[in-house]
Amino acid sequence: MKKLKAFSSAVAYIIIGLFILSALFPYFWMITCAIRDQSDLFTIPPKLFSASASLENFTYVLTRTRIPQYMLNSVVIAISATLMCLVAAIPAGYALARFPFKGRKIVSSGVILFKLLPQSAALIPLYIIMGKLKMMDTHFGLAYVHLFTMVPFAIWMSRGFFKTVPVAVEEAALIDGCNKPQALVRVMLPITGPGLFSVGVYAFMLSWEEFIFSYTFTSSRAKPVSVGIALFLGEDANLWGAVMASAILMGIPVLIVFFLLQDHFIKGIIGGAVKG
Amino acid sequence: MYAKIKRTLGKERIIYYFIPAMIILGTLAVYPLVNNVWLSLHTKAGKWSLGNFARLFGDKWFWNSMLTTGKWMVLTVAGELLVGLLLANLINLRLRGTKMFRTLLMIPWMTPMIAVCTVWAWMYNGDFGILNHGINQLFGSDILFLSNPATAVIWLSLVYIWKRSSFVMLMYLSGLQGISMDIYEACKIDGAPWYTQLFKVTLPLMFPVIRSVLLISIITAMNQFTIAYSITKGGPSRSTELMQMYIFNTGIAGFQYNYGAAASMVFLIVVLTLAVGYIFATEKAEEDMF
Repeated sequence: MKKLKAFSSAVAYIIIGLFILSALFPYFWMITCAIRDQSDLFTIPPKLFSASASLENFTYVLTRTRIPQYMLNSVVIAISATLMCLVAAIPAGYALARFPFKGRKIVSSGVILFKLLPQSAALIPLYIIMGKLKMMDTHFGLAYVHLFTMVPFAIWMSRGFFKTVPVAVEEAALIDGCNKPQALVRVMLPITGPGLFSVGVYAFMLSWEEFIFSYTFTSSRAKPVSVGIALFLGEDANLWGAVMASAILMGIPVLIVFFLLQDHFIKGIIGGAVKG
Repeated sequence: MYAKIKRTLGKERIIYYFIPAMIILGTLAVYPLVNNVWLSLHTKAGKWSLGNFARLFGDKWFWNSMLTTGKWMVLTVAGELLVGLLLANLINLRLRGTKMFRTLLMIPWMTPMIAVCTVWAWMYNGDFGILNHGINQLFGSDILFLSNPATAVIWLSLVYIWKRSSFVMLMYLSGLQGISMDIYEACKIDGAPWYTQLFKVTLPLMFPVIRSVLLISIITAMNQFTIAYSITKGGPSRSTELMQMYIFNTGIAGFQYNYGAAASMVFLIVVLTLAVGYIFATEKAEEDMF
């Protein structure tokens, strides 16, 4: 019996190991292709390891392409979008979590519905409207349309976080003399602070990697890095090393932040999705 | 007068909490949707017409996109389901190092889609891609990953499954962890073998979780754009042209606003019908089970 347990444990470890290997191999490949010399990139057959190592792809991307400008755009756009998103989502999530009003279920279902809406359903009208309002290729315009995907998610996540706080906490605050909005600001926000912070970070990430609206609604000034890399990818067959380097530059901040906040994210996303 | 205004505004109406969200979603989702309906039912000149929809039905590339999206949906959802369930069960064993395994497995999901697409496009490259090289070493022949129209969508779906499985795994994991250990103890006492345990106990108890995860998987898969656009651009021979790409190509790139709007309306109806139908169908199944 013990032998069987040991054997099945070993099998489990092996299978997990194989999955981890396949999960991580592309990252190894990305890094090694970004670091090696160009000549080592186009060998036949391709080389798994290369003796050369240099940062010239990174310096190329940072100095000779417009990627840094695109990254700046992304930061500006994502920050503005996140701020607007939180202003909209936190009160809505709070109300959904706490107030048993008539039609609450409909509103909740509505939020889920908005989460599932395909972006193409709004793409063409938004294209026309943005053109008429002269919002095309502006940072604010793009930040605003990013809210299409960000707000439903943020409402759902913050609702989940608010639900984890026992009602007694607010009741204590109300007894102590606050009215409802004050209870929200003075008591709930500090407690759910970390959770709400992760809602903001997740919203930031959604804006950072958003593609379809960003691609459609920008041409030169407000182009974010997600579009920049896609264009880079389609451009030059010879610059794969630099493409890898730019992908790394785009992905590293995201990965670091996710690592630091992973527990919060996992709680927030699962909580909303499963309990429904 | 001022006192009256102050009194009305001072009342804490619940709707105040929703006003910013309503403004945003109203302008970004509701109004464009209504506009979309209008666009699809009118010609470019502004005359009422059902011509867009008539044209859509005869458009072979529209149906190609539908079919492709359907294939894509089946492949990715099945793949995510299998891998996600498998991984969830393995992680649930709580072997040593489980937390680290879980974090490592989540890295693909955490990386921005476009970054992931660049490396996969490079790995799938016909001449210099490392994957072809690996296949060559193992099997001696090449696989035309992205150049064979018949199978390109399969290889593309692999990228998506690779990226999304850990997210799905997390949800199944939380479902698994909700099953009390006592039930398994009872199984052991009753002498039930592992497959009975799996099919008669675990899966039925997991049904609510599987049900909601599957819905999210299906809809999210159908809404994909970036992955098809960046890795294959919808090729080869438009065999990976997902619906959102078709809408973009005809409506925006092709400047056919009304026609593209019609296509997106049909797509939206399909998605919504799928979602609603799914919810109803599985609701009945869930009742039957319990």
